[in-house]
Amino acid sequence: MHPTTLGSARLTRLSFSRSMIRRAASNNWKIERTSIDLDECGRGQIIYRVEAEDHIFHFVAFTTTIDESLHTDRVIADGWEISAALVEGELSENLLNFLATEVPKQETSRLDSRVLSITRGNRSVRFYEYLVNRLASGFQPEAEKVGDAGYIMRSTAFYGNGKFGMRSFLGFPPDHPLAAPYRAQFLAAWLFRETSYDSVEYCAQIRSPEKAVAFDEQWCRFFGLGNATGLGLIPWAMKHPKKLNAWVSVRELALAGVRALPNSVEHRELLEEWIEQGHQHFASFQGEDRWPWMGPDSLSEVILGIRDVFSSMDSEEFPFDALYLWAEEQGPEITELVVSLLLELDETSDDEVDRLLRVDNSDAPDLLMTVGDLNDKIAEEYFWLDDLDLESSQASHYWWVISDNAEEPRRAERSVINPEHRDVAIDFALRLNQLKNDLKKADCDIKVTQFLQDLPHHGIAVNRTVKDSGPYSEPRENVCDLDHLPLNLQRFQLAMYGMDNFKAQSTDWLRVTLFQGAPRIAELCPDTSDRWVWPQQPQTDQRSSFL
Amino acid sequence: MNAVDEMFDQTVLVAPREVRDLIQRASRVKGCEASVADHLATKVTFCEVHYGGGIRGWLQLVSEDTNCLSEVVASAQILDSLPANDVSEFSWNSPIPFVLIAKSLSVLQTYGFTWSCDPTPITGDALVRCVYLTQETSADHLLDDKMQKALSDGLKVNYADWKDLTNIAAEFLLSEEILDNSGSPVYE
Repeated sequence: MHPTTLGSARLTRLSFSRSMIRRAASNNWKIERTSIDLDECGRGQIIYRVEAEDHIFHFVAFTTTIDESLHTDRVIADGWEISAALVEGELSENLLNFLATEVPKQETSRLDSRVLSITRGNRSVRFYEYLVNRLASGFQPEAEKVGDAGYIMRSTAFYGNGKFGMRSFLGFPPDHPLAAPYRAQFLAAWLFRETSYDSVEYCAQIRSPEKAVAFDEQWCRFFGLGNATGLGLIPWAMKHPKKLNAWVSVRELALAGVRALPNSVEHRELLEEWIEQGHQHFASFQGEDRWPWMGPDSLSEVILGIRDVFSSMDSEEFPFDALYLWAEEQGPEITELVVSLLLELDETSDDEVDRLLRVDNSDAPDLLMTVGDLNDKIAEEYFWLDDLDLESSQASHYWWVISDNAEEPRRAERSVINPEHRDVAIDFALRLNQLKNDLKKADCDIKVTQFLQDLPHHGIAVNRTVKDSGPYSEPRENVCDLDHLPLNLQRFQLAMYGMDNFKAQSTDWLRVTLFQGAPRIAELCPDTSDRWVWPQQPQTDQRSSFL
Repeated sequence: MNAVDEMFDQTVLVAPREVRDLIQRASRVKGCEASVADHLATKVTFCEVHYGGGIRGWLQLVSEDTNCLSEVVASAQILDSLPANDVSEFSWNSPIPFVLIAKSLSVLQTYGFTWSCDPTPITGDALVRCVYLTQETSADHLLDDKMQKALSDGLKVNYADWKDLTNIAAEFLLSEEILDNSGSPVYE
């Protein structure tokens, strides 16, 4: 896929936050807060228990306060106000003590396979105290004071899949309720968001037992979980071509299905409802464009245009295909907005999507492939390399490195720091180009394994090309190029996760929210609607504000 | 002794991906090009999961002469290709640790070859002088139950070896101070 297309992707019904809630609701997961022990500043411990399809999980959050000057969106912080873990099994005293010792350490923790995911974050400096005081005084928040925030707490990382000794993703049997990509992390994220609500409501109750109120219905769903995302997503995307292919493929398969739908009142009305929900959402959020993306004001205008165009297509035999074809001519952001709307009509079963997303990266090497075969494969599948100007000096401007502080991925200028042995080998476009050049000089009849005996430095590029990772496996860009924009790949991944409100802070990092509009745990039941996304910003209750 | 002390007493539970990540980084530190380090990381992880002693075998290699790691890896690479004959024998003047060839032999099994080594290795750090390969009409494949168990429950590895490997791999990381002073883009 083209980088700017990836960089315009939006949350869809296939996003992991949505599919996690659907699975939890349809399988009647029972989730309850079993313990809350906080002081009036919100310091202490909260525990949730999850009963899901014959499995027991616990989410344990340790909370404290740290000086505001120590809050950071980067992974490098020494401490966080919230650190938490999702574990499988009953929570013994021993396990709880183990978690209390290890989880706050995060990147320096040593965990084991009982632990499925760990996370951490901080409160919103602006809003946490305000919200506690407001509820403690018996009032709901004032929309104009907190409406633009969208979250009470902000996370900076969700670790899982074998990191620090945690259980590996492929260690879940296929029928396990968390056997879909990132499902453990998203259950943790949802409960992190619940922690933020519970923390505020509980502190308000402690401070003012007589007057305190809980969040009302509209505020109960409005706050999501904030997230700040940096460069770590780029190495992940580049190193997992099969997963990237699976993520794009499920979208493309679903989109093809929707485009093939014939005209029907039922589907037309459903799309119109989603268009209206999107319009209400963007119009209520407000906000100008923020480079490189449209803001809510523009999106609210754009979605009205989409509505008008779609209403003019009501006599088309295939109106959804017609809408998509129109959108393709309007640029990537409008295309992807239309795609996210159209995908709401998709009815692919979640089990099927989960199955398609569960990808094993291990592959048996092909010992029979010849250099000639590989040449053909590269010509057929990697033609796009020719568009990247890989021989120019700017093509290798950056190299990727991991900092010694919390292993933060960064990029460095080659002319300023020599990579020596420290480069993270995600320079695939450059490597593939060099491989292509050297293959031209090699005997076409020899086996690729023989070629590699002479030129072992091509191993990474060869492995990349000989694997059948699928048609959408390559981001088709050079991440070492001077003009590489990390935001594109970051946004695609974040959209697949189910994040929204993309606010780029620079070329290299952005802030987002997730689970805005999602049900609280007490609301979860088989009837829970999947239409919780795109909430409207609540309005201030004038009666309580001026009491 | 508490649970954490017990866990670290002799062995430590790790995930297969951690072995792979650390061997990859540590091999770079020890002079391997990225592709060679990647290949080696696959071999060591496979061996550690299926036979044990993979990390120790790698540590033995780097403890002798830091410059020869790539050369020793290259000397085992002959087994990454299909043998030209139905019966083959490969030998090394200086015996090589089994960790370097365990994965290759497993792949060759999937192409119908059976193998034996002299001396017969038990773990990845065992030194092998000679490998014999025979093409059979059908051959047993190594079942991947061990990998599945390692993914699910973790992989028990020697704690001292793990600590040594972690220390070497840490040199792969670059000082944040250097990065900050170089003007490397960063958020905030």
